[in-house]
Amino acid sequence: MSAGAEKNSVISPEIHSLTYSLDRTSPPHASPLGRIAFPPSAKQTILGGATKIRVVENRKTPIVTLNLVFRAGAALDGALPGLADFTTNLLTKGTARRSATEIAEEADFVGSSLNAFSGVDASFIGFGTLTKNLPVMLDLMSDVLLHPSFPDEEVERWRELQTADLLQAKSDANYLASTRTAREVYGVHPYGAAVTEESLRGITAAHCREYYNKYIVPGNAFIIAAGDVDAAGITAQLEQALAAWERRGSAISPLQETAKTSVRKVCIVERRGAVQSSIRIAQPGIARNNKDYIALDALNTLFGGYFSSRLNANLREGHGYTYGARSRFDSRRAGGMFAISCDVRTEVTAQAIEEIFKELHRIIAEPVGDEELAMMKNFVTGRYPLTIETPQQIASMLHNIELHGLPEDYFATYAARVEALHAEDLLAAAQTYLHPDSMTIVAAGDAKELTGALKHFGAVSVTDSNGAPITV
Amino acid sequence: MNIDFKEFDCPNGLHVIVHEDHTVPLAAIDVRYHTGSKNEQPGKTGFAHLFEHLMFDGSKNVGRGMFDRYLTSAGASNNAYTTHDETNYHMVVPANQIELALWLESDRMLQFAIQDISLRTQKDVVKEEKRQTEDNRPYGNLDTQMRALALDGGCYRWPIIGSMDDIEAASLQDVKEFYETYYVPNNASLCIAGDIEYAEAVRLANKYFGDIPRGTKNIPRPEYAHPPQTGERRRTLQEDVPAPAVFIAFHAPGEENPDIYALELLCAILGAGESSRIQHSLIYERQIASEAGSYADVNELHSLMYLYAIGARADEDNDTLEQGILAHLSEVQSNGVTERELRKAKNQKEVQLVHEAATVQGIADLVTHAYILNHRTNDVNDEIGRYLRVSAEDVKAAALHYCSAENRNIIRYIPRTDSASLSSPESLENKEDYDDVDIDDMGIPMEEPA
Repeated sequence: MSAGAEKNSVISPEIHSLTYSLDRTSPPHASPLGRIAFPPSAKQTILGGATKIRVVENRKTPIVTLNLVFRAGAALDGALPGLADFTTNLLTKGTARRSATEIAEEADFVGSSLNAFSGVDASFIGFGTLTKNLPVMLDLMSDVLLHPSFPDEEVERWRELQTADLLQAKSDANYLASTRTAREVYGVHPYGAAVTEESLRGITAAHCREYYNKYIVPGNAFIIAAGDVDAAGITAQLEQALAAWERRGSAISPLQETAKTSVRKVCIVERRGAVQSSIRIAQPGIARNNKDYIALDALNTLFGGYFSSRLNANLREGHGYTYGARSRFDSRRAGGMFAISCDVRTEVTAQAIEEIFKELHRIIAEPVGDEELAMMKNFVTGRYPLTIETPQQIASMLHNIELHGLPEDYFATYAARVEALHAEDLLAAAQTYLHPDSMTIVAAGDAKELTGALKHFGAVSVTDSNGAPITV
Repeated sequence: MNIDFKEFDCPNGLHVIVHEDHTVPLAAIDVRYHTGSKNEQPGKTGFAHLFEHLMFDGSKNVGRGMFDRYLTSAGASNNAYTTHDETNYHMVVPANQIELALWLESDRMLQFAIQDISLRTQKDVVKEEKRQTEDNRPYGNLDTQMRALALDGGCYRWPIIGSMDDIEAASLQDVKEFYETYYVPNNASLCIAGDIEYAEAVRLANKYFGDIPRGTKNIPRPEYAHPPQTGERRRTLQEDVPAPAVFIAFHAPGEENPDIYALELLCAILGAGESSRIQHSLIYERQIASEAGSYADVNELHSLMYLYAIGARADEDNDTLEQGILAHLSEVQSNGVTERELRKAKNQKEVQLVHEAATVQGIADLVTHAYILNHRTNDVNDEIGRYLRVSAEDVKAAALHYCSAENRNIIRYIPRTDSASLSSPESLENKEDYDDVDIDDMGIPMEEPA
C-alpha cells in the first residue's frame, strides 16, 4: 500500500508527477465488502389470481424485459419431438388481426423482437424493449397469446425452415455430440428425444392448436418482469392486456425421474475427416430441486465450472489439448445430466479422455485440498455482486425459484451455504453422485481414427449424423 | 443515453477514463492496447492474438497460472479479445478488489515475464482455438478466404487467428519485441468503471501505473494504402458444408469515415431482423435460404460490408441465391429506402447501444474503444446522433458509391459431399466464456452465484 493521499480526498491529476516506490511483490489487501442485500422484488397476481407475476424494479437503464413462462416444454412433445417449440413459434406467425409479416415488422420497427420458444421443461413468450415501446410490445404479445390463428401456410413455412436448420445443425460437431449424449444418457425418457425431419413432417396445425389449448393457459403460467417498471404499473398493464384470456388451468402429470445407466460405453458420431473430436463424458444427474444440488454445484465449480478448474487446468493449461474443457450439472424438473465437454484435436482424443477419467477418479477418491476449497468458496462469495448487477440477472433467479419450487431465499443465501461446506461434504457428494465406471463417452469426429483409439474405454458403437448405426 | 466519465493522461502517456456508478459494489477494469493483427508482419500472422494468450501466463510478481487464480479467488470474471486493430483485457471485480485488478494489470504492463513452456502450451491452445472456430466448422474459413480474396494488399489481408505455420514459428524474441513496442502505457487506455470515487480512481491509477516507463520504441501505425478494386473477384470453394452459400463483401471505409453510419443502416435495412428486405424475401417468401442477411465488419482503416445467404437445401442453386441478394441491393440503388425503414434501422441501433451501456463492462468497452480510435472519448455519446443524422438520400448514395460490381468480392461454397453456423470473427476471445456454463436448455441465462 502506498503512503499517498488519503482515500476520498480530492486529488487533481497533476499529482501524477509524483513517483511511488511501490512494493509490487504481493497482492494488495482487500477489506471485506460487508453485507449486500439481495435486490427486492414484488409478487402480484392477475386474472383473478390465476397467474402469478414477479417484478424486479430497477430504473437504471430504460429497458423492460418481460417473460411469460408456461410449465410445459419439449418434455411433453409426446410422439412428435419438436411439437412444443413448433407451437410456441407458430404463435407469432399469425393472429386474427395480424399476419406473420405484420408481427415481425411491428417488433422490428421498435428494435425489439417477440421471442417465443420452448425448452425442455417450459415454454416462453416474451420480449425486451426500450421502456417507451412497452405498450407496443405488450399489445403485440397479448395478441399472439390470445388470438393465434396457426395458418396452414405458416405451418408449412416453419416446417421448411426447421428442416433447413436441422440440415445445418447436423454438420455441427457440438450438436451431434449433444444429441447423441442425450439419447444415450436419458434413453427413452422424453429428455432424450431429438427433433427429426420425420417428426417435423408429422406436425400439423391441429397438433399445435391442441398443444396450445392444453398448455398455453393462465393456470399454467407465471410472469417475470424486470427493469424500468414498477410492480403496480406493469401488473395493471398486464391485467388489461390479458383481460380476455380465458381463465383455464392445466392438468400436467409429473414426469418420471430419469433412470440410471449401468455400463460404460463409447459412442462415436461420424464426421469424416474432422480435425477435432467433440467429446462428452456424461451420466444421469439430479433434478434442480435436489437437496444436494448446492454441494454438487460447488464441487462442479472447482472440477470443471470455471477457468481455474481441474479439468481446464489439466486439458488446456497443462496439456494444450483444447481451447477449453468444462463440466456441468444440467438439472431439470425430473432429473438431469452431469456432462463433461471439450473439443480436442483428433490425434489426442484418447489421451484427453484418459486425463478426464484420471480427474474423475481423483475427485471421488481424495478430499479436495484446503487451498482449492478456499479458492472455490472465495469465488462464489466474492462473485455475489457480479450476479446482481442487472435486473435481468435477478429475473433469471426468480424464474428458477418459480419453475423449480426453490425457497424464496435460495439465491440470497446461496453463497453462505457454499461457505458452510467442508471437504468431506464434497467428497461424499462426489462419491454418491459421480460414477465414472458407468459414464457414457461420446465423440463426434473422424470414426476411422477414433474407433480403434477408444475401444479400450468400452464397447464402441458408431452412428451417422441421423443416429443410424454404421460400420467404418 | 449519456455515459458520464472523467479522463486524464498520466505523464507516461497512459490514458485513464473513470466512470462512476455506485448502484452495485462492483467495477469493470479495462485495459486496451492499440495493437492488433494489423500490426503483424507476413510470416508472423496470428501473433497479436497469441501474445494476448501469453499475457495471462506470468509477470514478475504473478507466477504462471496465478493471474487467474488471484481473480478467481476474488470472485472476479476476466477475459480478453484481439481484433485487427486493438487488444482488450477486461475484468469485472467486486468493489473491494479493484486494487487487486490494478495490481495484476499494471504488473503485466510493467514487467511481463514468461517462460518457453508457456509459449509452447499457448501455441497448442491457440491452434485448438483455430480448429474449433474455423477448421472444424462449416463455412468457418470464410473470413480467411474473403480477406485473401479481397484484401490482397495491406494490413488486413490475414485473419486474426493467423496461420498454423505462423503460430508455430513465433519465438520468445518475437514476444519480447512485440511487448516492448506495443505494450507500453503510451499505447494504452485504462478504464475503471463502477463503484469508485473519481479521486480514489485517480489515486489508484497513479499508484499502480504511474511509475511504468513510457515506451522508447517507435510504435508503427500501418496505413491502408491500397488502390481501389477495379473489378469483381470471385472464388468458389468446395468444402464440407451442408448447403451451398454465397457471401458478398464490398470494400468500405474505416470506422472514422462518416459513411460507415450510412452503410451500417443500409446493412440493417437489407438484412437485420425478420422483416428486413433480404431476410423477408429469401427466408420467408421464397424459402430458398435458411439464414441470410447483412453485416459490416468494421475496422479502423478499412472495412468490409457483407451480404450473404445460406441455402435452405443441399441442392440449392448459388446463382439463385446470389441474384436474390443482389436484386435487393439494386432496388435500393435505384429507388432508395423508405423513411419507415430508415426509422426502423435507427431504432434498432438505439436499442443496441442502450444494451451495450447497461453494464459497467459494456461502458468500459465503449469508452476505451472510442479513446483508442481517435482520442475523442466523448464520441461515444454522439454515436446515436451519428445514426440519427443519416438521411434516406445518404443511404442510397452510400449504396451506389460503395456497393458497385467492381467493388465486390464473392465467395461461394458448394458441398463436397454432405456435411453450422456462420463464422466471421471480428474478435477472438482469450478463453471460452464460463458465464455461459449456466445457460439452461431453455435458452435463458440462469445467473446464479456459482
